[in-house]
Amino acid sequence: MMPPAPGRGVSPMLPLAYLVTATVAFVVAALAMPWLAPELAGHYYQPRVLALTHTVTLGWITLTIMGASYQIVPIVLGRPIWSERLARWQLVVTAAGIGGLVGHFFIGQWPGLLWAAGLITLGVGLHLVNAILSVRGLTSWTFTARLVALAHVGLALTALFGTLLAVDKVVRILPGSLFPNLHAHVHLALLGWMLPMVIGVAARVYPMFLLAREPAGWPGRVQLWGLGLGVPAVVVGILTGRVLLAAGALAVAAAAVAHVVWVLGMVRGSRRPALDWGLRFVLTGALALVPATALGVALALDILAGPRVALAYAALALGGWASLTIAGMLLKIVPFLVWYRVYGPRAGREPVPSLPDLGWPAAERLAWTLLTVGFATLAGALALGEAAWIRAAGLLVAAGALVFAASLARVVHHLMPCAGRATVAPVRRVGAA
Amino acid sequence: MGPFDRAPFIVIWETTRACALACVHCRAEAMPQRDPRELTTDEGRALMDRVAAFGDPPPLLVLTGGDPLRRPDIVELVAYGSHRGLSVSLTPSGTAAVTEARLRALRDAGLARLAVSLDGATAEAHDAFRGVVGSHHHTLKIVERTRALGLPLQINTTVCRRTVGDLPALARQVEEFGAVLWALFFLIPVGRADAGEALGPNEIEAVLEWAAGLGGRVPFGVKTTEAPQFHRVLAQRRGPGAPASGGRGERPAVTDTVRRAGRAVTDGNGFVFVDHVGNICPSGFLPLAVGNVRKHDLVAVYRDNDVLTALRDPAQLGGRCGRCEYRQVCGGSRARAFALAGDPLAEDPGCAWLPAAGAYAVIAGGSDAPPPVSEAAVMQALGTVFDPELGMSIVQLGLVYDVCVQDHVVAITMTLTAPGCPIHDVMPEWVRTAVMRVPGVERVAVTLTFEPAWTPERIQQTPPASLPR
Repeated sequence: MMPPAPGRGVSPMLPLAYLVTATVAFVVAALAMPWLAPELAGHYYQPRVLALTHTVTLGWITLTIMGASYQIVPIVLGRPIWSERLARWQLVVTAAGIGGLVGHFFIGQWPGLLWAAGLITLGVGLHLVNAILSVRGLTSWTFTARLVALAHVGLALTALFGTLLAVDKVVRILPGSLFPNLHAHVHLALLGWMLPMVIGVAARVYPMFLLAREPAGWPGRVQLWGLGLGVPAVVVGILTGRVLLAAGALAVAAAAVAHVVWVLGMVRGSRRPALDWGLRFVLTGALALVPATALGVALALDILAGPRVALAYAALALGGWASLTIAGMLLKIVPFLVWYRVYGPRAGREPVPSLPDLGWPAAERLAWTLLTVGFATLAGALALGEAAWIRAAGLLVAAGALVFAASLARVVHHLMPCAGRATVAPVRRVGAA
Repeated sequence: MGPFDRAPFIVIWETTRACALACVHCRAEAMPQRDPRELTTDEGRALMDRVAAFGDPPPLLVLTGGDPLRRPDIVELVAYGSHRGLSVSLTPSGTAAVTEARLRALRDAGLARLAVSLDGATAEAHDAFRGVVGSHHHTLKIVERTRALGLPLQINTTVCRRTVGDLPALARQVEEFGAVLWALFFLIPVGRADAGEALGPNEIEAVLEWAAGLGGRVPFGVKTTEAPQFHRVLAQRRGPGAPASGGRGERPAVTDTVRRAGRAVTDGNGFVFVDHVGNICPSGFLPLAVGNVRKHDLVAVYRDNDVLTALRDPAQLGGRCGRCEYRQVCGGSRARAFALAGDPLAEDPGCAWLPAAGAYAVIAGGSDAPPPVSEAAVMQALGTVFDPELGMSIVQLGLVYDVCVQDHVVAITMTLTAPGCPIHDVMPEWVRTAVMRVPGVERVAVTLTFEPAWTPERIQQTPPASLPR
């Protein structure tokens, strides 16, 4: 396949397809939370809890990162995507694999996990091929480029480990006991894939959104070294010994704190007149990283222990940090993609709505409130192990996810051919007025 | 000393920029939601106190927008203004918000006149111009209710390429509606208005001749905005030595209590505009902020500000306007001079009169022939190109590094906030489209560069407040 010409933009429909699929997964997972409250009040190693977790980590977070990377990586690394067609096939394969994996977890049929995990690994493989061929020849290995590369190594190892775990369910092949293997897989995904990807991209994208200077200085070095050394130490430490785990956890925690320092610095230096709800989501997510990190360190240092605390940690990390950050990014990316496709060609020639006109601030504010309160409550309820509180928190999260999805749907609605006519007003001229 | 040196004839307060319409020509670039920085009710009252302080009789006060009815306190403001002895008029948008109850409340609050826009003789033409289907229907409802309540009615019409053909039919409708005044707004390319829609000087002259011919034949008055040469046309029709009149087809309606000026009221000269956040400008079409009512005294600014005093001094006018024998009654459109030449004291490029020759001629300007291109006009056009996400213009963001004008070719060197910015592919075309609208521009070359890289420090926090010369 011929690579696309340098500078050529990706069709907005490609990342949109990923992001819409991911949002559906988020809504499904959120709606399942109140329903799965009794299971969530128990131990986390239960088929339906695993199904829920993978709906979040793969369906929501990974598909969003993959889709957003097809929009953002060309921007932050200055390299075009090698093949859009491959990326489309990747979505089909990965989504089918996620559906199969979640479904088989849900019904507790382990052999079915094999083909599903295989499809996901294939999808991840296609993504890695596209990513590697896209950054081929990259000469400037910036902070972002290094962390994106590190994240893709983490993704590859997470998928490989996950496939081995699936095989291990049917044919015992992995040495060691189940839980350390499971924890290593989880932390490869969380710290090896999601964290470097988010903080690497944030260093380039947040300044653009906030109209701030690009961050620099010691926090960058702390993040690079903290993740580069800390993540392998955490994973190997989980599998082998506590000392390495503790050192790795402290290194990763330092990286997380350095990221928050950078984010706060960018907010202080922002020249943007006002923060929209997308940015508020993102900044709230960054702040949620602090308690999530504290809980993770406490677990690693054996200050806290047990499945209840582990579930609370997962809720803060996957909900408070990852989900709020991703939701915020979607509120920035999706309107742009829709606007670019529908109104970009018309801008300057006729009145078109501005990007903020596409959004629904009231719904975004409500979604922010419900999800922020919901995830915080969920973390507390999971720590207590009270099913009633978990259900109440789950209802808040579910309501938040639905409102969030509705606000995105309102944006995506502009893609419909009739939408332009139906929304003649209000419009303003953008591009050239 | 000019007649409007101490006090303007009219003060326009843009009470809000919120509006449900999407008019293609909107000066204010009205937006769907109210700006939280709008002047508050108390600040509005304080503003009206200062309008009253200009002296007796106080200037007329027009509450405009946006759509002033988007302010829940509008009736209260009208009542306060009336109580202060002001003649308060209102220009609501043609929407369903103008109910009979609200009109009745406004009338009871002392509203002196209601002005509504009609920009096409048919529903199709008007709605296309206003950007919302049904606006024509609502406008006619407002007309009907206003007349039923006994409120004096004014019809406003934007004169541009899209509407000029409808003017005779509109004149008949204005008569049928029983309006006291027909205000013709000659389009100035500011805000959303497209320079290509503006009439050229010979076309403007033809419209003014036609409008002057309405005098005595129609029961309503005619006034022009941004075409003060209407007074020159009227004076020429009356012949030498005849006194200047208000420039109307004189047939005042009995119910109309709003007085009229005896000469052209132009930007900063008899006319002053306060925008929705309190900026004081010569007019809404000449958006040069010379102060802010939150910080400055409107009366003092109007009387003493250098920009405004210059605008009132005919001796400072340039080009044909400076030599014109009618400059005391006309003065030319300062907004058009600024929009097209970048200098509010330059000659009005929309006027067809050649003072030295004492005769009409085909003037280079408007749409008739390519006029000289100024860097200021190009920068103004660039100021209309917005980043779709940030809502800031590329000029305000500091993305424009260099503008070079040579004859009718414009070369622009600019940057983006980041090298991989997704609008990389489309921004040059947006810029080209905007600058091609500047009269006289024949070719635009846009070069994107990332040396030096853009930094947030390049963002302009406030618009320039000084008079560019």
